[in-house]
Amino acid sequence: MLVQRKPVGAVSAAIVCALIVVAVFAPLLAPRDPYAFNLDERGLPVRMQPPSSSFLLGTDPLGRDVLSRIVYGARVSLIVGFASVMIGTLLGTALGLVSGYWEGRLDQVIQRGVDTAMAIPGIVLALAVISVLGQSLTNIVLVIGLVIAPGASRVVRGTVLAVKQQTFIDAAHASGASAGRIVLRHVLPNVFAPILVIGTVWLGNAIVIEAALSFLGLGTPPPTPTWGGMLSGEGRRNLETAPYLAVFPGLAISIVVLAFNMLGDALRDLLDPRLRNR
Amino acid sequence: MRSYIARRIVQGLLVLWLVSFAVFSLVRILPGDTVLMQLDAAAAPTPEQLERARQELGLDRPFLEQYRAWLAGVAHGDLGHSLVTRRPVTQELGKRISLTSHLAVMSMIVALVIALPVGVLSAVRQDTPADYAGRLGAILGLSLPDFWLATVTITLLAIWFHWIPPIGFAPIWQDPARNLSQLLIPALIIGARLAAVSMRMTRSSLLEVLRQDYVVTARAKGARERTVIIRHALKNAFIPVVTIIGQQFSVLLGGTVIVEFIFLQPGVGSLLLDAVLLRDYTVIQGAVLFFAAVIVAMNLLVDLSYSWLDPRIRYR
Repeated sequence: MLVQRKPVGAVSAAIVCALIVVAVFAPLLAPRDPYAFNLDERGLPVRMQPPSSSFLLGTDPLGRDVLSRIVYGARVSLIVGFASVMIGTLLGTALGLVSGYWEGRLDQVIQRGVDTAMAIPGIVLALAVISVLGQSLTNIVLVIGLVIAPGASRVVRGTVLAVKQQTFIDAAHASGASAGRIVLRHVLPNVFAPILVIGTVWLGNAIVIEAALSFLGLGTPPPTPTWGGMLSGEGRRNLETAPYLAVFPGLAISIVVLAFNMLGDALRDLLDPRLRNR
Repeated sequence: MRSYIARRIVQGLLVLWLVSFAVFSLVRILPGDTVLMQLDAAAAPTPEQLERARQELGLDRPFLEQYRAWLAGVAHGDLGHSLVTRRPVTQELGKRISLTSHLAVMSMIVALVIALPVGVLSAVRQDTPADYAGRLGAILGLSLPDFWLATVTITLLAIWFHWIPPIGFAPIWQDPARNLSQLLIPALIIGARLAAVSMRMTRSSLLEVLRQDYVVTARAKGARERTVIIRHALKNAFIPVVTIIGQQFSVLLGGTVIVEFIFLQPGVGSLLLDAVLLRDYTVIQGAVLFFAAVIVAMNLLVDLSYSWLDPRIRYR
């Protein structure tokens, strides 16, 4: 059904699934150890080899297999992507729900906080917080989640405000439902669709932010292979002599982000008409 | 209307104050010690030397006192001194604000000049090759990471055209040729995302507007298609586009950080990056404040533009 109505969305979903498979089964799929300096017969590292039959995507200046590093790099990208979006959308949804449902003073306070966070560009916020917390996978996940939360909270708040206008909320109130119950059973299901769309698009953005941080040297510390790190480290310096070192990580990032964006588009189209009919 | 503007300005100032406080406190929980980094590590500074350096920079005083002092300074236009170069922060910023402002404005103009016509064309010629081409371009602009694009561009320009980014910035009114040669390509890259998002929004918004009753009426009256689109549809279609531009502006400014770094342009973005790497507290604060101030101003402008675009909106 999905394939017929939204072929592009189906392809994107397939790419995303492939990404998940690659990341989860990295040790099985990667031809070599991504950390190993591959040596030749004389015991010297096989540096800077262009793509060949033995090293499908070539080797980097330290003799490590590029393909294996890209395969393992998928893990970092995926973990950062999903974890940070989970945290960001959960936090954002909670804030948006509270803000939108109860309004009043609490709403004002939360919204000023959201305004403050949104007055700072995402990457700037990420840089500032990372410089304080230090580089580590956990910190990056937290930071990106922090960047996502304010925007998500605004969307949720808007949806909650709109839903509150509906008469079935009054009906629930009149029949004696508690606030919590109303939020859970009536408000939350309506929030789910917009959050899903936002979350999908943010998955792509989160991966780009992580790659950008790694590119600037503030991401997951080496020697863990990350696509952004590969782009900045070996890739940038050797763009003239060994373009494949930058092309493949860049391609990896671009394809994954493209897939998430198109999946988000497809989801939005699928979910929207249904919402309008409600 | 005037009270609305006043209220929004007060709100904006409040946000700026909150930003300053947030950055100030954030930056002082730092584990890395900026003093240690600045003093020559090889000289193995004694605890007394460290303490003296800390006193000099005011880092030993209690947090609130530091903040009060800094805030008092800001009221007088003094943002403190760089912890690294000892020069006033306003001086460091001042040299670079012009370049970053140029970049930001140029990126926006370039992005919108490309995106809006393409979006309109795409909507008017829906589901034709032109439409598909536009949408493909948009999705690429959304997905290709800006740092990758910048890296590849600057390297290809160096290899194929033997071009390196010129140093020595001149504002566009002084030396337009040099200014454009320096900033146009980075502006294209920074603006790519805004162009993509604006194009998509223009297209979908116009498509929706064209389905409205008043458009059908205009056509029924016998107005030419061009009149229908330009006079009746476009103005209303642009309202959500303006919203999106406002939202995307902060992303645009964020883009200047990386692209300035890659293109070796001395703007506020690259200043922030250097400051982050060196843990230069005061400069980080100043740069973040600059970004926040610009964004707050932009949001106000966007809000004001709504009343021009849609007369039905009236502010209480």
